[in-house]
Amino acid sequence: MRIEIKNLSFSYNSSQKVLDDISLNLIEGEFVSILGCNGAGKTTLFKSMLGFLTPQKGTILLDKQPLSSYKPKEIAQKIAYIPQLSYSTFDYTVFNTVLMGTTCQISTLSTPKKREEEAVNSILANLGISHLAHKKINEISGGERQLALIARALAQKAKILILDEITANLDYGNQIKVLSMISKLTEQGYTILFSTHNPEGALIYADRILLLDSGKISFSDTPEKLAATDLLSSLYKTDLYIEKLSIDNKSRYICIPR
Amino acid sequence: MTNHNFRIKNNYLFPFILFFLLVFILSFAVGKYPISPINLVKILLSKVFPIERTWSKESETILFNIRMPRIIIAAFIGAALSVSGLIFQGIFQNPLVSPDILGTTSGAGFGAALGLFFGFSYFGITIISFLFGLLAVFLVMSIGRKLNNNQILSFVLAGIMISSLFSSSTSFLKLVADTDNTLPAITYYLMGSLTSIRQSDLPFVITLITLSIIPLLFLRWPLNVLTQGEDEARSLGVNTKLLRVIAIILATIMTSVTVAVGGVIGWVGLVIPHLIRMLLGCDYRKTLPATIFLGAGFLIFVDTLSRILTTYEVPIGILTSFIGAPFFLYLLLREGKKV
Repeated sequence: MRIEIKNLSFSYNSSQKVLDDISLNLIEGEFVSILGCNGAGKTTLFKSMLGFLTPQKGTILLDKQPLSSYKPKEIAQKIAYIPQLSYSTFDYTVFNTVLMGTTCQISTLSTPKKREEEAVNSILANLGISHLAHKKINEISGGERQLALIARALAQKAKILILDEITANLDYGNQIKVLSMISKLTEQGYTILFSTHNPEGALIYADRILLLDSGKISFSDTPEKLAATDLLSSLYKTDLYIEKLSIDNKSRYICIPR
Repeated sequence: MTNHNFRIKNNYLFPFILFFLLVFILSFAVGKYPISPINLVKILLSKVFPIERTWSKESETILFNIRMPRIIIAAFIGAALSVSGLIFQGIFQNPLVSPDILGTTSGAGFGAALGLFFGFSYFGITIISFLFGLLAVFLVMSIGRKLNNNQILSFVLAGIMISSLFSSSTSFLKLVADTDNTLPAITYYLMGSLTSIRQSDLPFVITLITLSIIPLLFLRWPLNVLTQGEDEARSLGVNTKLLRVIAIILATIMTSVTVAVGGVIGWVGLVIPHLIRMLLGCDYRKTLPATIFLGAGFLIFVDTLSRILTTYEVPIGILTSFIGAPFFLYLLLREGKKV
């Protein structure tokens, strides 16, 4: 499963481009993290990749076919989307919320059957959240809720996961819990595109980091390469010092404001 | 692996069907002209089996020509208003939305007032009322789509505007109407009443409401997904624009039909879906069928009350408000306690 973006430009009105000539390839099993300030165009990029917005220029190819040639259900079978933490007006159980992920697997006029429900049971068990199945989605913690939405994405059987600041509004422990869960998914062949305002999380877990600055990709390479530059300082307009640590034979980075 | 048995069993529907059947049957026996339960059963059975006549001819005429059409139409109107409310609340992700959110009631009310003003026949009034109900929603959706804001908010704002426009137009008609005949007729009509229901209304009401509810029953799973919001529902594979338009059109047809034949009957579309969600949760797979039976039973019950409560018939719209408003207050207090 591949997604290729070529020379993508998008603007909500003619005066200012939100995305400016973006080119990006996502490779199977890759964990790509996007960093950028508020308004840099991250959500617009995601909405274009999900087919919600039609770009004025450029192409998005999903498995070598133009994204515009796919129906919403077909896109949902290939790309899943998880938004940042929010509360639902209607309080469904965790089980039914996850079951909604199977919508793209069934015909429009039918309801999920035993097969879909068994798939949901199996996903909940694999993520270790079977105990939440009966609980209402608004009654569980933020971290548990995001895990439930990851389960919903897995129920879609899509292999590309677009995660829009899903760790925002989570406490530190839950951020780590969610990030390590996502990280494990890449080992199962999932491709992850993850936007965050936490550069340390991106430096720890991502295979590749993209910096999105005023609608343009200003950097696209490994965390090691990014740590060797002062691009994060200029992105956030704050003087940052990146320290490399070696913990359990793994490289870890911390960002400290000077 | 823990297996959770979440298969929906049909027995959740049983109490609602029972309530409906009970109210439905009892409402035949109750009224200004009482028919004893034994005679009621005999009259009904006499249509199928040869039974010796122990009842008067009037009993049979009242039962089949007056009460039956009215009770059946009350059932359909109750179901239609309740289902419309349930659908609109999901689409607009707001549990406090009622079926007239998009101006249907005001539009249809104005249509009926116009028909009464120009002295149309009963059938003419029904048709013009129905058409104005549809026109109101068509205007709301056309305006809503042109606004660049959040689509849901745009529809709601356009709904308030169009609704207000039609309400003012109705007020204007009332102002210039003949105070002896037309003005009371318009006022009484807008209060909501099933007194003038005729047997000839049955095909119109039954066909349109049934044809609107059936597709919604098939769409109850995607309707669940739509409550998750535009972006999430689309990312889950739902054609949100198409589903929203279909659901709005069907809910509007149902609401227009109810206003066309029964006038403005408020609160039902707010109270019944709430009660159902309190009892069953918010899964449309359960709530939609249950709403049909509870809504139908509820309106038959209120209509029966309106027939027997006083020597004059109390307009049903007044009674639904008397029941609905305190219930709404209770809901607000309940929500307040949660916060």
